[in-house]
Amino acid sequence: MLIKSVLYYLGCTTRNRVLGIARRMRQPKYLIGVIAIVAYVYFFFVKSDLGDSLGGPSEKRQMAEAGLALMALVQIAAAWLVQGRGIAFRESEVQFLFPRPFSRFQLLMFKWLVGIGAQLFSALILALLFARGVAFELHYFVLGFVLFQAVLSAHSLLFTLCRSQIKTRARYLPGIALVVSIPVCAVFTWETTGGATDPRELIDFTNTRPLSHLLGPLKLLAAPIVAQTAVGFAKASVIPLIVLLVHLIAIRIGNLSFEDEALKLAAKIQEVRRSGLRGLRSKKKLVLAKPGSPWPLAPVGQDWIALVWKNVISISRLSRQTIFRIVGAAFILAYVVSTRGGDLWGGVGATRVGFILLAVLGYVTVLGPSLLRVDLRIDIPHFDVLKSMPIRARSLIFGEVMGTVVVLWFIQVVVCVIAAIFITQEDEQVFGWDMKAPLLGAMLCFLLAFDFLILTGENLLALWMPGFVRLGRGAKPSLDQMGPYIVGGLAKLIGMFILSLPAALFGTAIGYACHWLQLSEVHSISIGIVSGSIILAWAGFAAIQLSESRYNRFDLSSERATAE
Amino acid sequence: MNSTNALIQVTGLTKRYDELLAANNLDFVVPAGTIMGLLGPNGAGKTTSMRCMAGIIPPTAGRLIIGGYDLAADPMHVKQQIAFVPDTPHLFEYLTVEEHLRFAGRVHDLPDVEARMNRLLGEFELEDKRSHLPGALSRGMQQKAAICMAFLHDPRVIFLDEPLTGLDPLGIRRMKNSIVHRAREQGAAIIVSSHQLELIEEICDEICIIQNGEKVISGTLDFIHAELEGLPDDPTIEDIFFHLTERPTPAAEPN
Repeated sequence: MLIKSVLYYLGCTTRNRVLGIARRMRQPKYLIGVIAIVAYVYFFFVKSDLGDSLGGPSEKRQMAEAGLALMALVQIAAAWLVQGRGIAFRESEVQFLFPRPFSRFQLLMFKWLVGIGAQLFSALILALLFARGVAFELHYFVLGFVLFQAVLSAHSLLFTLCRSQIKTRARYLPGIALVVSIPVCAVFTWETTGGATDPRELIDFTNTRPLSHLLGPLKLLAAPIVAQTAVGFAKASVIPLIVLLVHLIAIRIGNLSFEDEALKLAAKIQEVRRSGLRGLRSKKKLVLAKPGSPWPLAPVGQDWIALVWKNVISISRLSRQTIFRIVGAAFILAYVVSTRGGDLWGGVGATRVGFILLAVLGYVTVLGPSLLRVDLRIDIPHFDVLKSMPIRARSLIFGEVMGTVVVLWFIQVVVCVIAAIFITQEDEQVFGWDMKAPLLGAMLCFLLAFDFLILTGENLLALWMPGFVRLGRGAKPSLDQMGPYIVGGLAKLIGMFILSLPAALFGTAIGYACHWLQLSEVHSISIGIVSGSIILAWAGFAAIQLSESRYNRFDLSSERATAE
Repeated sequence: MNSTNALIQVTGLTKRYDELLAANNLDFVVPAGTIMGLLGPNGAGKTTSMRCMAGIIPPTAGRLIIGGYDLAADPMHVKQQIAFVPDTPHLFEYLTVEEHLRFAGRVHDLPDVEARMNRLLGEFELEDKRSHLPGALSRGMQQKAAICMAFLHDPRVIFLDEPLTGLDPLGIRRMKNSIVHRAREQGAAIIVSSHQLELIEEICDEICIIQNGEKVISGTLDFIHAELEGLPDDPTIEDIFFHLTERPTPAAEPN
């Protein structure tokens, strides 16, 4: 009964998903994305010389074995550390399967077998991508990979079941020990071998103690994947099959309870699907001891200021992890660029720090509008309430946009001013304040206008083409959404180009005119930038005004109905 | 029906989504101090009609005079006087309950927002939830917060789409009292859409039943009783509803 249920479930799910995707492909916006992805995969993996430099077939297979063993090690470490591997039932599965006449073992096997079904799909994709370059036998690769993943997921499941019986923090100790032992072994092995700078040296690296102690048993699990003959595959499969059987018997005999933990996990999964990673926050953190706001909102005044107030508060309460991620990523990228840039970046000491800060500024400017999505893109689900309020369309769009602009610009001002303080000298060139002050002022003007235009573009795209951007929160959509996003991105680029072209031309013309009037280079550039910025901001306002009627007509439910 | 003191006058309201006719030539009037129940099976077009009346989406055709102003010509004056509570409360994720009310107060330019806020939070038992973000509130409390936000400016016209969803018995009683108080004492015109027929029967002065986007009947219970044949002697709204709508119908709303 179980096998039949699983097969029926997998069959229906797969059929409906494939049919759904096929139906969507009739629309060009989805088709474009699929064509782009297929072309990328074809040229990057299939047509490229990927793997040609990795030596002969035997070497490649050994490398693959080592790589797969490393992958298994990471998977096991994750299973030992992360809660609930193997029992992460969905809310629907909990509601419809748990009350049915299934034993514990059958429920667990349902989840496990569904996972194996997904692994078969992964194996086929991986085979398509790598089989040619790495000299695998396609059918042994697929079967071996499924067996490999089956063993690992059975192990994860058994470990999760055992660990859920321990209620203290001690249950995390094995995971922590394993995670610590991996880099320790790697470092000692590195000391012995002198490292693995060439990909082919990976084989020796993983065969040397103490890393070989960790990876050796796992290579046995990966052996069927790289088998070349039927006999070789059969022989290589013996050990993984025995390990698998032992695990399944242990799960069956153990009959350990998992229902409470599965229910909690299902609720969490549901929450994450609904509201993204923020769904994992503790409810206690949602009760604010001191709900401070950046400024007190006067009870009467301009509507758009209320929207700015709302969005600034929201951004200040964004998950700290998100903020650390943005700042961390910007710093790492900036540091890498500055160190690899060599002569280009030049300078030492304080000036170098100043240039790194300017690089951070660049990344904040580019990444910020996409990451700080606290504006219309998030508020579109609230439109019924917002639109029933007496707020004019232009005030609403402007207020929504300006909330993020204010925060982003504040960060940019701080970074810019600190960078200007640090940048003092490069080689023979001395940067005095007579030079820095006008450029700093012009730069801040430009950044304000640029942020405004970019964020206006992002928001208006959501208004004009809601099917082409991610709206609201929650789990990221599937791969077939790539097409609409590519089209949306393209539309945004074209729109930005059209809106900023007059500003660029005007700014350049003014700059040249100032230079022609005998003004210094620095002042001419600064005036040109400020003039261009004014046009840039004006273009943003014009775009908002042109979108007013669209806002008044906007109805997300009909947009969705039409899109589907 | 006297339409001189009518706060809601709907004439020929039609909303079409491509092939789908969500509301078809609806006509009705709701005078000041009157509560009208908007009834209909799932997909009848109730929510779409209310969203048109609240100025959220433009109708395809028809004239809507709300609070004495033509919605198409003067939407800002209309919106100053109305409140709309959707069936699912979508609160702003990072604003506390108190901040939601401050925001709504600012949008409606209410100098005495503090006093109004305290009164409403007390009325709907949200005083100790002032500093809670929506994620920390139950579905019912979120609904209450959305209702407080809507009632803050003492609207003259109120549209309530399934207002009792998620409320506990005490919350339901308070909500009913609040709706009735706003109609009787403050003279508001209220349209309530709900599948809870006993609620409609208890608080509404008139009902309007729609199906497939078309009005089937509207008026007081007595009027409808007199109009229809084949009803029991003392018919309930449930009797009337099933008498008029009990036949298979296709969906008419896109959402």
